[in-house]
Amino acid sequence: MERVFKRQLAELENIFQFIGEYLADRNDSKIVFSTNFVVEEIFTNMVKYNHTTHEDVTIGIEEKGGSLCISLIDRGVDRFDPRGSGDVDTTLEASERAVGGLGIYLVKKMAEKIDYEYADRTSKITVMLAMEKKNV
Amino acid sequence: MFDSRVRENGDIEFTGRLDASQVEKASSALQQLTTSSTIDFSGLEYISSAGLGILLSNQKRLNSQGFGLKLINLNKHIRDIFLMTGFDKIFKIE
Repeated sequence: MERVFKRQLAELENIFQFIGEYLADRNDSKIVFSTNFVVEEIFTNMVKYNHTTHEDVTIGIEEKGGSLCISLIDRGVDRFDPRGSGDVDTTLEASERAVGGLGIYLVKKMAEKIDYEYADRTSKITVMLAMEKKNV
Repeated sequence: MFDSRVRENGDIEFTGRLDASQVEKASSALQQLTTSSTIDFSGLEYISSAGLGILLSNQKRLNSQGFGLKLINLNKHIRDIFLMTGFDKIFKIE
């Protein structure tokens, strides 16, 4: 299932509704939470940092084997591969911790696998979540 | 949607979903705190990194003045997020 969303944070409510519709019959609050989290973090990154475009963002969800395959497509943007960022030292005390950077770190922790494709100034980030384990 | 309110005993109650579109509401509530305070998460269903960030920045501010935040009644999913980020060591959690 795929849907297109405007490039604005106010779309998050519609995005959560879209995810809720797709996962409605699973009765699994864990996968719903993880999917909401992963999609929000990647979507908000696209909205905040990809200033070279006004194109909508396409979000897709489908089940493949035992995994939930979540994709976000952003057009007219520079390359950003999330697999190369998001390192956070979680052992530091509050005074030493940076306020940002937790989103991609957590997405990487939750994901079974992350794929990245970039061509014709279009970014496609695909996150696989295990349906029964490893998710928050 | 997210909402917060201050109880008669001074504790703060968070309810709903604390996502990036709602974080300003949480920020307004937390910035008013000037001493150690308790935040009840029993009505909070969801939090993303935007919410974690605003909690951390206020904890840093309060810690620097000798105070801190205590978070109570986290649901399992939010508790897991706190464990994964090491936030369970940064906040008092009950």
